[in-house]
Amino acid sequence: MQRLTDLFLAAALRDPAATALIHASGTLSYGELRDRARETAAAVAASGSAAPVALTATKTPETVIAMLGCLLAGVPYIPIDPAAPPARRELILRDSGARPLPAPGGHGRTTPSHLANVLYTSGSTGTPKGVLTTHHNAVTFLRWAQELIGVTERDVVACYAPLHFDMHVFDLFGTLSAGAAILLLDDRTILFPQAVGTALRTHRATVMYAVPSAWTGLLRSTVLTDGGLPDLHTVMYSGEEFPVRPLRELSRALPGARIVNIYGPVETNAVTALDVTAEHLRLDRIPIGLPFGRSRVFVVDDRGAPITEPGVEGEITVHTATMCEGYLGDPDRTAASRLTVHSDGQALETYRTGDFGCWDAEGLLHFRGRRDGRIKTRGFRVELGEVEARLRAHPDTADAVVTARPHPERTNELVAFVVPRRGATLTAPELTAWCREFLAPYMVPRELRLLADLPRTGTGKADRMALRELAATPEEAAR
Amino acid sequence: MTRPPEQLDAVLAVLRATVPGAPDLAPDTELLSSGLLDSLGIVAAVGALEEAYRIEFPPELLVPDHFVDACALSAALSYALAAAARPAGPEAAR
Repeated sequence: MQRLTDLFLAAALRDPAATALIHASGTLSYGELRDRARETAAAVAASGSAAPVALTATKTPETVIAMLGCLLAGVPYIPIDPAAPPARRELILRDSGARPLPAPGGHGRTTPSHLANVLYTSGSTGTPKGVLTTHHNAVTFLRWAQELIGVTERDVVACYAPLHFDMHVFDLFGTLSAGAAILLLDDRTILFPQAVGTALRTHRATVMYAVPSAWTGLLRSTVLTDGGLPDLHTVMYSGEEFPVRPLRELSRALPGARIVNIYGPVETNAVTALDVTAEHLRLDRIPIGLPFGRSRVFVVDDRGAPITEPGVEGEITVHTATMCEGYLGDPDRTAASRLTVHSDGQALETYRTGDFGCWDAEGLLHFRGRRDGRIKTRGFRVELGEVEARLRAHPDTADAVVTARPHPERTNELVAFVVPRRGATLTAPELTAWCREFLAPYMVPRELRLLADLPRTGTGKADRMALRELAATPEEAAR
Repeated sequence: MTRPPEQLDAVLAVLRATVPGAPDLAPDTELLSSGLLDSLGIVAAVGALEEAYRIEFPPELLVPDHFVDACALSAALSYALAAAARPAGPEAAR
């Protein structure tokens, strides 16, 4: 079995003096990183337990070393959000039966495991669920990502995402497999776009994979206007939809840089990818593209039959070698996430993404929103993403999120949260008029609130749960 | 021109209002390493100071060193005020 650490060890053997990790207080070479990871591996193995190891995923070299050490010892790691409240942390530890990282020293037998990590993600029910990723899943993902992105030993890959987020697999192991250097942007730096931009420029980062808000943050810094980022040749984004206007701005600010849109849930990692071209930037919404690697992507109707007709919406499901093994200790949830799709005389097991999409005439997949982002109001079906797209299209809007607030008569009322562009004077009545111009009356938000910025989850996505709660509390005496 | 002690009090008042559950925040309370100030808190605090002083924080000031505690933020505010007092920039307040 190929392990996630094999190509890293090969790179360390090839050039042990090469820089592997750039962090706040220095650098680590491939040889140093390997030796320290081996010390950790020995300590993990000495305990003789095959239980996964829980790691507080602070953005430090120690976390990277601990992850590598666990994998070298054949034990899966569970990265836990350092900002997680104690109750959530406890729940994860109980649910997974994880143990803390043993101190270095001592020798022992390894406990082979086909699992690489367990990534906890919030379920729509609010209870975190542990996604089981095998070495095979992760290695396949990295092979396909390498075919798409082509990281070389000359690259410096900025690690923006928190280490408990699935993007770390590309950022850390993808980079180390290619013999490139990781630029670890620490927890403090990523709070400040100006600091992120400065770090990217100082360390001459060439690739960064981050959520759209990270990139739009850079647009607010002086870094892109003041000399730009000439070394950055690959912009990868994922996690949520990138509003088109700031994406156009980014494309103008980074001429020559390749922009890649990657779509996929934690359970499968990447499902589709798209090289964003000038032509895509003229559209209202960017397509999510073509199947990633050798995965097979379907849009299925209510009966689970594939839809091939362009423009007809259905749920996106994927048959892929990167599909996780399931949810830890939850076979029912695992079974519910699977769907057998019949195609070309084959019965294929697929993962149900819970997202809606459709194909276009060119064979590209388009995202049409979450299954839970589709609500009903006064009997009409409303896709919240569509209302958001209209709000974001306003020239003075930087970002917008729409949520539904339960209402006794109308089923749901739409509440919109809008972030005005810096320096713009934007009013709620103006935005309402803008929506009325284009949207059906039932799609016009009942209430519009202007915010300085959207609350974000630990991974940088708009915190929809927090916004739903905010929507439930009256801004002023309503009506 | 605001005198520094008053300015520090203003910064503390803004931080106490924007950081939930930190009414006893002191001038040297660690804001970033303690996790008290998150990205939304930073935006809210800067927005409140910009509104109160009718200035815009230059993006160069929005870096971790200026947010480690209230004293550091007060110093950053002084730079922002000095930058705003320089010619060229009309006070673009809403």
